[in-house]
Amino acid sequence: MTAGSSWIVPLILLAAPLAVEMVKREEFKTCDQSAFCKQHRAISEPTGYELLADSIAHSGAEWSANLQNSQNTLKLKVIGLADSTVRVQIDEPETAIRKRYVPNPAFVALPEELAFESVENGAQEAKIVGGNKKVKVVVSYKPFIVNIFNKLDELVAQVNRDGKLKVEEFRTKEEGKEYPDGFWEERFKGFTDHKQHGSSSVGVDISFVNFKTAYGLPEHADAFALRNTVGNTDPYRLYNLDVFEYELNNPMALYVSIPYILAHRAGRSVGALWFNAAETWVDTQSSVTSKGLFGKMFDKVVGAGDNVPHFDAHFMSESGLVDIFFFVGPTVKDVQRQNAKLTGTTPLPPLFSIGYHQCRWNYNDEQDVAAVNKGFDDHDMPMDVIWLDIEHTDGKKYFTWDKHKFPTPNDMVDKVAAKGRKMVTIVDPHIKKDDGYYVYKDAKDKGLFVKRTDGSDFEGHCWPGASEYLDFWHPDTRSYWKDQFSFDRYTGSSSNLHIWNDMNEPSVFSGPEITMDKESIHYGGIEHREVHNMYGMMYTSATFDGLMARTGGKERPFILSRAGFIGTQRTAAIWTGDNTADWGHLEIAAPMTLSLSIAGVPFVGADVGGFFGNPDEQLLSRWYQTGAFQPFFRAHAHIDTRRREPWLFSEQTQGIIREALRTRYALLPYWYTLFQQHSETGVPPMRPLFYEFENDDSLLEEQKQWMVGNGILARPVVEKDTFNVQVKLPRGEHKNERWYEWVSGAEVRGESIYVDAPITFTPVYQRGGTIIPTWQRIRRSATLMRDDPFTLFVALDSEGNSKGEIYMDDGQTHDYQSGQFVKASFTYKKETSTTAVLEGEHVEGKFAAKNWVERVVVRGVESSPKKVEITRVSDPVQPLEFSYDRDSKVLVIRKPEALITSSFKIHIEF
Amino acid sequence: MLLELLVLLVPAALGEDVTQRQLKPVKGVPHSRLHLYQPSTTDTFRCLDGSQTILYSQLNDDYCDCKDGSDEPGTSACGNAFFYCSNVGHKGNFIPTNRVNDKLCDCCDGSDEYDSGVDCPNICDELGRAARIEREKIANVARKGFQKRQELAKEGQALRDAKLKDVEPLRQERANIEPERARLETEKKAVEEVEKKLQDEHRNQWEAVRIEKKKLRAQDWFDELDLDKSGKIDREELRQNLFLDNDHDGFVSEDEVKSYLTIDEADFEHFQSSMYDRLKEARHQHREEMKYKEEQEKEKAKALENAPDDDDLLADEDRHEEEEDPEDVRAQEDDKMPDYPPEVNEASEKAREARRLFDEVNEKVQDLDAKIREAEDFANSDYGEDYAWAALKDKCFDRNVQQYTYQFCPFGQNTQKDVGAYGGTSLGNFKNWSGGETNKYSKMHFGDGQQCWNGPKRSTDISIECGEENELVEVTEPAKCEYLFTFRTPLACTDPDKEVVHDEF
Repeated sequence: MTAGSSWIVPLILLAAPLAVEMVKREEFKTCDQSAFCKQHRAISEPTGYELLADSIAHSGAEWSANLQNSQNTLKLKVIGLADSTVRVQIDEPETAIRKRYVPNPAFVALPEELAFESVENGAQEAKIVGGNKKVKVVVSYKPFIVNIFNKLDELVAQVNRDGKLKVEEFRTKEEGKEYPDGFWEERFKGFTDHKQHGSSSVGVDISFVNFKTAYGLPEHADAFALRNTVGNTDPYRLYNLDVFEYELNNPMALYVSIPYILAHRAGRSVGALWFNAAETWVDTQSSVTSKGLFGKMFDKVVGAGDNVPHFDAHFMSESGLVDIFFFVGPTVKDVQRQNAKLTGTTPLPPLFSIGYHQCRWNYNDEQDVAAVNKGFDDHDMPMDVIWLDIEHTDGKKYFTWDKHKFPTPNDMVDKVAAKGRKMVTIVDPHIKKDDGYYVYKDAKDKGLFVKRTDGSDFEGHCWPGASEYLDFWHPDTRSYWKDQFSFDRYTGSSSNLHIWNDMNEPSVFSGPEITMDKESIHYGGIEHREVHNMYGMMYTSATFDGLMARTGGKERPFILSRAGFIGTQRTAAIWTGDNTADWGHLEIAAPMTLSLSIAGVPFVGADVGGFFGNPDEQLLSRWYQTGAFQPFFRAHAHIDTRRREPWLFSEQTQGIIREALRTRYALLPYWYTLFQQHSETGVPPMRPLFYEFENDDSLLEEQKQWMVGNGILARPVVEKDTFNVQVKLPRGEHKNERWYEWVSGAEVRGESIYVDAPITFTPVYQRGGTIIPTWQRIRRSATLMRDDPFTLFVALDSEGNSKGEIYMDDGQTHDYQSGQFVKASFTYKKETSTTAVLEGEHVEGKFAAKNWVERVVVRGVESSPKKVEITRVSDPVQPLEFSYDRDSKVLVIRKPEALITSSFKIHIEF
Repeated sequence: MLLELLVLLVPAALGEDVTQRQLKPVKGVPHSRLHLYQPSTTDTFRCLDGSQTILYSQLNDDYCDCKDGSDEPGTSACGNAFFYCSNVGHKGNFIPTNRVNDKLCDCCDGSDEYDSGVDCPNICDELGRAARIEREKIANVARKGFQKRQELAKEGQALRDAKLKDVEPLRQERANIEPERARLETEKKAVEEVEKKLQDEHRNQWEAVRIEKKKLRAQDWFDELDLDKSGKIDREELRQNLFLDNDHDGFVSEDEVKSYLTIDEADFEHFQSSMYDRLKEARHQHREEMKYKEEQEKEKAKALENAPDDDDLLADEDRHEEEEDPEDVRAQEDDKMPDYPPEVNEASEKAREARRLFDEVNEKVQDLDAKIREAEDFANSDYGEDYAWAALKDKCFDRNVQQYTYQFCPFGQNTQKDVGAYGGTSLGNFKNWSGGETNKYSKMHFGDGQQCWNGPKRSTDISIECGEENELVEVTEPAKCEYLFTFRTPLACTDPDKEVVHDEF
């Protein structure tokens, strides 16, 4: 929810001219209205830094030197890290009056340093080769440029090639001295921001060499591939904000800020993480020629003449350091892993959380919850979680319940849990200013709130009215918050109740740009401006600690958050906030979730149906079909909208929704396996096409279709009144990829095809060469399906082979960390011209999974087999029944009865 | 797990003589349908949709063979099949087979969880007893309610009959009056036409005179303004008129006259057509302002003296009213049409009388029409198959929920108001019965209520249940401004002793 309805009501009554309309752009700053952005963006001449060769020092994994221009002296560090990663850091020298903030909590662990292989400090430049020769850095002294090379010795990125490096050091105000506009204070919309230490911005240009296309910088309601902002629009803004009815296709800030860019071309990728938690703007531009003073230098380094493309990003932050991590790949999955090594992955989510979530602002009372719970059963639709928004509380005091509407929360949760389901309640970081509210009283007494510059508690308005905001940098706040989730303290909670952290940008209805004043003070004297973008992440990580602690670390927590930063993925899923029930918002959901996915946040989704407004049946139908193929699958609606539980619509629409839900639940074993793989490799379950078809440059802009894992290509219809769509089925480098229509199993030919997509149909395809495990017994909730048998969908590649994996465990505890899981692999191999074998192999883990393979569906089989037999471990060979469909070329093998915890072989003889 | 199931089924399939008359039990199938699931002479089973024939041993073998799911009534293998719980002691029922062996006890006899490791106790006796008591309670209510309904139906029927009976004499009476009404209407029209014609003639004659007079007045003023008597007025001449001093700086500027005189100089024709009316208006305005100022100053002066004397104030005002601008007075007189001559008044008198006579009869007709319409509406309205709902027309039922009183008026308007307050917010007007084809009279829809802020027009759905008395028992608001009332009434009671018990699929 946003600072929308109930807050605006009183305002409207007071001041009629404040009409409600789409996003109030004027509420939010443009680059021109932000003093530092305006200043950095205006840099047109190189700032003239050069490296002082005699200041060079190095030892182990660290190489340092001083930089100097007419303004000041800076300290450069190049730090070698494990896994093809290098860190380039530019700070004030040791003489600085104050330490600049580094958002270390965003790391999964402090970066693992790796000593350099070699260092060669020349007269003009220094050559630094990383450990294992996985990365090389060439620093040229004058002009100062950092050149980054991958292990193939290809120049992939340059820092300060355009000479935009600028670092404003912290100051103490000197009387009588003249300072530029906005240096000590800045006004916006009646708010004045006092900068205690003066304007302390940083900025530099990063050029991705030999790349035309780049991605990332979530979160924006914009195209997946980054656009040219230079000369066109404001820069992309990264400043976590609660934006009411956000607009599409523009670079305005939203709820999440991840200053990460991935540049990609056929076969090569490089990633750059701008490690800074302050307000950040990024100007981006893709060009083909080099320019200006640096052309020569560029040519020399690249050695490739004038026509080298490059994607330039000018990062500008209000505070913090120039601190960049380069992940040099060389492949896109390498880059993703390298980023994950530093910032972490999403731990394996509990099984229920990848099922379907039913939310609304608000389910009114316990009767309402019971009716919704029953509604899904009465209409034979699977559902896993019922959500309660802010109205469930007693006066927006989180951890409390409205006594009239929710008199027996424990019973209510138990009843929902009796069907294998869970509930989620909302807990926001603003604390109602009310001495009768224990959380407020405790936090007040212990001094856990964010402070004003005068030392008093910061106060702002949010849902409860006057509120204060917990300071999650304070260790006492973190331990206090952790305790609040214990079952005895949070009345009505149990291990079946999980948590939704909303409004954590933080949203402050009465603050500048609907958020916290930048001059506010956190623990240790940190200014809010230094850490704003990570407030939401610090909050969800504290909640995570609480949910871990309440079961002594046994059960896996589930948390949904609206705000996010680097590292958010370790503790929360993210949804794209308060979208609208229109076609544009349905369409933008894919680019937004893809963008988050590649930036390291894989558990993402958009409100199905659209938060604001009332979707018609066509839009709602298409939204369910789309949401079923995006990682986080939740329907949600604003309090002013009509009820939209699936059974309130026509029979046809109910049928479409039921089918979308069933499709999702059928694929849960596949999704679950993908999430498990993500937790190890960082590769997101929802992927852009170029992740799987790295060498195909025609897919770089694709954002209407995506891959789920390596095996499923989804192209849901997101256009109004559209019943025929174009689908691109990449044929791969060797033009031999095969594709099968998911439902019918028939092979589809052609690289770019037009497909009939009546309202009941979602274009989804299985890639040849993959084996996808599914559940075909769709029950009331995912938990109830955990032990069910699998149906394997085997899609043959051009060689007649395919392979896949499955991961299973108990679906809810951390016992998998002590081996209570099972990993199995499936391989289908054409052995001779008349025989093939499907081999199931237990790979790892000791979980006694009860699941067995009840059916194998082989797609793309040229002729009917004569005989199918199975050998299970030491059993004798047994014949299996099968059927073959000549038209679709699909072979169905009946009931192999093979457990995934032991190995088996199915022999097929033609 | 699987083997156990096979062991369970195999003897049933192979061990017995298929010609034996006794029917083989099949898991998940009620006795009444067992004959559909017996093995053929070749020990096969034909899917109930006829799509396929499978080995009899493949019936309930935990693998879905038939498209219609008919081969797996006792396992969860098919997504579209149903499992029968016999629930001896209570009521047998079908559940979707996806609830078989899912670790949740769905059948009261526990028969759905035969292979999930969950022990579901048989609680059918207990439930059956409770259900019988509950059923009896409901039946009692229904019996009493049904009796009342029959009375209400009689009442409704009587109301309807009365309305229908009344309507014929009304129609007759209307038919009798109609010729008279038509005659009077024709007469009225005729005399009105005469009246209008005479009035128009008089008005037209006067209009010509009025225009001439106005021209003379304009000519007078033109001459006055034309200081140099050149037959033309220029801006300089206009600027001599202080009433054009819009900005009150005591001086008429070029700009201030520009909007009145857009050309260099105006002859009389231009003056009359484009300037006269506006100048007159400006002068009038100016005079009003001056008057107002004067008054203000006088009051100020008064205030400076002692307490004002009421008489003085009145006298002041009187004086003002007398102080009319002579020019305006002349204009007003010129603009006033002279009274109609006697022959016009005579025609008007005739018309008035004709209208009176017509109206008198017409009112009677309209009154009859309204009564006929009401009766017809009543007869055409849907008060249920037995007209029982007619008894609730014009009746309302209240319920207090916290600080609000909700009112349900079956064929009128629903409202919400603060307890004890007068008036309220409309939650919609009766639109239609909305219980669908099978149970039309189980729901009502009310729409087009008061618009919600930032939301839809308020609406109410009424869920109607059988009860001994008419009573609004529950009010909720599932979505903002969409209300749901639960109304209990004998009108929803059916004869419990006539109901058929549907036990099986």
